[in-house]
Amino acid sequence: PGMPAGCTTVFDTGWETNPRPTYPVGNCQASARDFHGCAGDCWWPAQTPDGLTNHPDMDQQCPNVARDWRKMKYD
Amino acid sequence: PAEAKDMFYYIGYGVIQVIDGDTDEIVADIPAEGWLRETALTRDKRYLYVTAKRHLIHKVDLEARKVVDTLDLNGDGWDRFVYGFDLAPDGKTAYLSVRGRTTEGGEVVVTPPRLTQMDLKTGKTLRTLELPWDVATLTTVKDGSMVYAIGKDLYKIDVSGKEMKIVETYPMYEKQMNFLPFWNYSWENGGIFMANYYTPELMGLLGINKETGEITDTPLNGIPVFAYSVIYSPDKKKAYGVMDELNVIDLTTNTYEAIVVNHEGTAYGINVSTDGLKVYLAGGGSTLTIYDTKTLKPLKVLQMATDGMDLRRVTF
Amino acid sequence: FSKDSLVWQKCTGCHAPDGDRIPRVEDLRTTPEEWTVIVDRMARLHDMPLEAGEMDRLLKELGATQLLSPDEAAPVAYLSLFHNTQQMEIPGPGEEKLFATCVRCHSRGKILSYRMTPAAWAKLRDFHLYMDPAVMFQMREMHWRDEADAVLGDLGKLYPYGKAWEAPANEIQGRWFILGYEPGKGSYRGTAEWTDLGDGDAAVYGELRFSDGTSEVFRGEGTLYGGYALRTRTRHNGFETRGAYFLDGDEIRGEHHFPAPNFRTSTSTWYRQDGASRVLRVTPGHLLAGRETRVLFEGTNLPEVTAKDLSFGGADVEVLWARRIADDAIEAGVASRATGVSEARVTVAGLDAGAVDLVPGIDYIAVTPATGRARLSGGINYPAEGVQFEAIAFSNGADVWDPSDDVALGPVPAAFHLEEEVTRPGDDDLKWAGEIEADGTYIPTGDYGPVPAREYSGEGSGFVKVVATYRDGDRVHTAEAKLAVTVPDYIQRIR
Repeated sequence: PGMPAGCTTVFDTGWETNPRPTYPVGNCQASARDFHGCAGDCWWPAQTPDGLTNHPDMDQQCPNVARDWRKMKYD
Repeated sequence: PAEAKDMFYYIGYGVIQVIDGDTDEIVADIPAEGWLRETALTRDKRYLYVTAKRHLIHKVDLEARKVVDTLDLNGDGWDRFVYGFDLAPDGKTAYLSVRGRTTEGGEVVVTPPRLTQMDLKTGKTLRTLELPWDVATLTTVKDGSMVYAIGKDLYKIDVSGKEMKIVETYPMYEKQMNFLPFWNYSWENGGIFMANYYTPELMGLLGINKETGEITDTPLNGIPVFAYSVIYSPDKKKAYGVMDELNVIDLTTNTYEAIVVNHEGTAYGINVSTDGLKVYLAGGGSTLTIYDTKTLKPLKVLQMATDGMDLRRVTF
Repeated sequence: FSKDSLVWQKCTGCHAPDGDRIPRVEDLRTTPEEWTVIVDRMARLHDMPLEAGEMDRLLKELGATQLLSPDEAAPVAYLSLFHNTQQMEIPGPGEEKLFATCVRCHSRGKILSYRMTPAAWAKLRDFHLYMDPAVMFQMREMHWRDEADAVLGDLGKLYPYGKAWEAPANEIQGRWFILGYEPGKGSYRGTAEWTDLGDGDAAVYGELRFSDGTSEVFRGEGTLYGGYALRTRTRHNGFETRGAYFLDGDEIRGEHHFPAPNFRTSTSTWYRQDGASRVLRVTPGHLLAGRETRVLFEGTNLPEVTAKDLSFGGADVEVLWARRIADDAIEAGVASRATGVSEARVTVAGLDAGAVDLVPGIDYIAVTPATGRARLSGGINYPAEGVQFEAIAFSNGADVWDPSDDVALGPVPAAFHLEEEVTRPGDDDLKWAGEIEADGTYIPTGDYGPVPAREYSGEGSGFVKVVATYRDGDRVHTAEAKLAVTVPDYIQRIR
């Protein structure tokens, strides 16, 4: 679906959009399971911390996102 | 061998967790700094090399269950990133694809990936070769005389001589074969590096026989079921793939035999027990689900300490 | 930049000066927000020391010359507030490549927030390869480096650096009359006083009176960049807001925003009070034939009036009554018997009051935004971001079949509810989307945690339908929009 400004629509899946018919909004299910795997390698640098440049130790504050997401603080 | 014993290594964040393949229990944690990514096993199954944060290389002693050495590719003002890592057969050197960046006079400097042969004891670079920008992973083939680097296309590189050089390109981009080859299970797969790809119409399996260097392309019939990774059943009659579902591919007809929703959600990595009775889905989130390959029902869900990238099997 | 400027001290350490010119810094003009991102990056990634107060000083110095012009800044103003903008970016002609190469990761507005030399645009390719070494893997179904070169070449022609910005001598000091509108709450008018504190800073105190009878007192400060880009930090009845305005001579135009979770955003225009009598707004801006309508005229120093002081320029509109209810507001009861679709020039006691549309009736309504995007809560640091939907009434205009002459009549109080938008078998998004308030205010109740009750244990995100229903006498109008409830935005500085 077309989405407002700032939503990524990259092929794999955008952070907010998913070209696959299964689940139009959001990437993997649950998004928390895909956080470190994709964000770590800069998949959505405008929406999530990245491990290559801005947050090299991004996993340390929350190595289990589905369990500990409440305390995340990156910006 | 009857008494073959599977041990699974969960590649997590700041830790590798060891799972006994008989009891399917977590039996050890191996602390290892950073977000862990690529893995390679020495032939004697003693050491597992694991890259971290794309610039560290941990050497993990599987017997002592601890990291015994770590190389850091960053240094002298350069940040370096490894996307593609495999051991040479002798286990003394490794082949890496390394991209670099630095700043000079207020300007950025970025270098294309270079195939780098590195001495694993000293960390010294022995020789390098510039690679196309899109190279994302690599694997050694033909007893280490060649390296296949995979990006938009597959680049066959002869490393047997003094100078390394690309000798052939296996086209994939023009066939719209879209690849995210961050997972492969060569040593579990009987020496076959295998990754799935998509075209606008279908999903397919690309296999590289590490011994012969032979490349096989197996397009699958039916509506593609998205997968991050795929692995053979031990008898190579089936392949198992995973992303949001566990999908079972019948390799006699190249069709999807079964598609099972993984209730825990998306998983990156997949592995299979040596007897073919169990499939393990792990990596992505922090839960590992073990399926019975006969009933395709989940047998067990393990709560891992951290999210993960992959699950490797070493059979002793 | 003079040699004792903070920009010179901070930037020339790495960007060696070329004569009295600082390369890189003087190759680009952008917005205060993007300069904040750049200065922050220099401190975080390139070891530039940045003490308290230095960001403010740098932005002011950079804002004097390295800023967009107001005309260049207006099309990207929706990015000034770092809020959950609902702006839809549609590729313009010839922009497919731009969207495929750049806007799949960040907004088009971020690109259009820059005017640079061709060489500076070209450097963005390697800048991206530096910042994101994995860009080639994500953009693997294209030749990203070559296509980036091509797009950056176009941008060098389309959005050149031009010349340094020269700040106009705008004066913020003084009293202002405010007219604003806040979707989900209503229109408001009020007054405010700006006190110039020097060095681009100013203090403000004011109060607003809303059409729903409530009022807000606000105070705070503002900073003026480049003589026109006003950024405010005010508290309204104690609630913090951020504002982004254009100071343009005797007018200030822009928005202020209550950050999530209250997330209300309102637009307003401030008029310098100079004692003159002016009618500045007429609400509603349309009259439906055959109905008595209560019309509100707002402005400054308005005279006492009776029905005969109002004129609709000869249109078939009867003024039943009129009275001044305050020195800034006049109310009147009018009835239009005009047939067809036309526009009437209005005067109040000789004062020009602009024009109103005369239409037979409301033919349909439409919901804005057409696709709203809400964000689940990401914990205490990332409160849920909502969407304010509105129903806008339309007349078909003179030609029923030609949509281009339809007349937007303005918001109407429709009742809102959600419905499932089925995109896959077993679509259960509605169950997790929570409720939308009858007035169109939607704030997600879900958060970023996985929901085990869902088939894949996905979080409470989803894509649903928003339905608005408006009763207009015996006619019932309905319209639909879409609502995407998606995951939090963890890096808000990059849009």
